[in-house]
Formats: sequence, structure tokens, C-alpha cells
Amino acid sequence: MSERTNEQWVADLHGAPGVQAQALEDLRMRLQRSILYYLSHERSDLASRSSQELSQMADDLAQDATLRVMENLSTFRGDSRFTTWANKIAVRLAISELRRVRHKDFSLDDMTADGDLQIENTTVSALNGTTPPDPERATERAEVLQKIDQALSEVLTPRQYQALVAIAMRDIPMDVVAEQMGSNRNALYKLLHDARRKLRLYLESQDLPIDYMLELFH
Amino acid sequence: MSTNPAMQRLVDFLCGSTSSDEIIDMDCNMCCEQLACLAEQVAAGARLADLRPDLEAHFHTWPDSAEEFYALVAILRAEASGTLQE
Repeated sequence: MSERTNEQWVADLHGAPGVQAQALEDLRMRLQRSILYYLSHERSDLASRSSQELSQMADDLAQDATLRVMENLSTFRGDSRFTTWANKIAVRLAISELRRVRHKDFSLDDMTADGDLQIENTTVSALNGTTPPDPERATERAEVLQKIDQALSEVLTPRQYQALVAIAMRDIPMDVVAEQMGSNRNALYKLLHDARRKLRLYLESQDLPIDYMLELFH
Repeated sequence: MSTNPAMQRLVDFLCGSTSSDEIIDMDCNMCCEQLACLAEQVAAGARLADLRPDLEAHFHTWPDSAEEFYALVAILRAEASGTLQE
């Protein structure tokens, strides 16, 4: 496979049909190798997959990534290497797809304010993990958690609540939550930023400054 | 002293640093070349904390974004070491 400069990549991908077809194939193969490396070396959750399965996944993802690169080719300025930029697009696309598959059964509708955290019905030791802290501190934590729970349901909109619980507590990826909300990552950042600001203001009004909470829970 | 992981994450999230609009724009742009440049530098041995401490703080609050960035770094390192070659 020939090595191209950034300028050659862009020129060839815009080139005459024969030149363009070769550049597209070179790009697709390059992205396939990168994705296959990522799937087979960096993803322990895929360790049970056969090399054939991983190779097929990498093929499909590389095809999609090549199309995505072409759609955005006009935005490439040449600050990074072209192949790094293309790999960035491929990696993001691959990881997003893996997240989507892993969380295919997740539903935001399950994230309701009614009993989602169940703090009031949960024992202090369960809330605090396997090693119980001293009783005084455990009680203090439980009281703070109850105030946080109260804040979540009182201060946030249902949409903010769903997003916050899904992302901050359930570890659901942003892409998955954004897709279910019919939104995008940027809008989700703003939604969560506003939710966090409202919660922090509320908690501070309850004499629960950030420094105190950090100290209490670490 | 351990804490329920979900509650710990929520507290960390509430107490975490707030990212600038610039960082959020970088992160949201699938085709962000600035992140590609930073990944090249980190893959070559630079520390992200030295290059962009604000981005590193952002990654601490948003692990999805960190996962994507360091996956790219891993690929670049493999490429540089010849591991990606057929």
C-alpha cells in the first residue's frame, strides 16, 4: 500500500475515477486494519469472538467509516496527518456502534423519578457499599443521599432526570442516551450542564457545598 | 471507605469540573482535527495533562470521550510500532 502525503490523499480521493477508486480502497483497508486492531487488542469484552467475526465487524465498520470520511473530506485542514483524522472518525464510529449494540435493550422510559434510586427504601450499608463506614458517617451519608434524591426529583425536569440517572449513575453512554432522546451529544451536554448547575445550587442552598460532599464520599 | 459505585459516580459527576464550550465543541465534533493532533502528540509520548489539562479534566468527567480518545492513541501507537502492518 503506497504512503501518501495529506495533499495526495485529498487529491486522490477527489481524483479521476480510477485514481479515486484506488484511494478509496487503500483508505478502507487502512481503516479496516485499525478497527480490527482495536477490536482484537483493546476490547476484552470481545475476547470470545472468533477472528472471523471480528474481521467481519471490522470490514463493515471500515466501509461505514470510509463513507463518513468522504462526507467530511472538505472539512479536513491538514493540521494532523490525514490517516490520523480518518482513524479518529473510524474509532468514534466503531465505539458508538459497539455501545449501541451493547445497550440495545436499554430504555430511557425505565428512568423514572418514582423509585429509581430507592434511597429511602435502601439500607445504609447497601448504599455505602460493601465496607460499612463508622455509624455516624454512614448516617451522615444517608442523609445527604436522601437530599440528593429529593433534589433529583424536585429540581430537575423529567428529561434532565432521565439523562442524569442514565449517564451519571447507570453508565449508559451519551450516544445511546442522545439517540433515544432524538438528540445529539452537544445538546445532551447542555442538558446535563444545566441539570448539574441546578442541582449544585439546590444542594448549596441545603448547606451541602461541593467540598463537603467530596470529602464525605471519598 | 467504599461507597456504592452508582452513588459515587453521581457525586463525582455533580462535583466534577465544568468543561468550556471549546472543549465540548471539540468533543462533539466527530471530525475534530485538534483532537487528532493531540492524539498524535500523546501517542508520541507527550502527557495530555501537560498539553491540555482542561481536556484531561473533561475526560475525567466524561469517560465516553476518554475512551474514544485513548482508543485512537492506542491505534496510533500500534501503527508506529508496526503492529498494524499485515
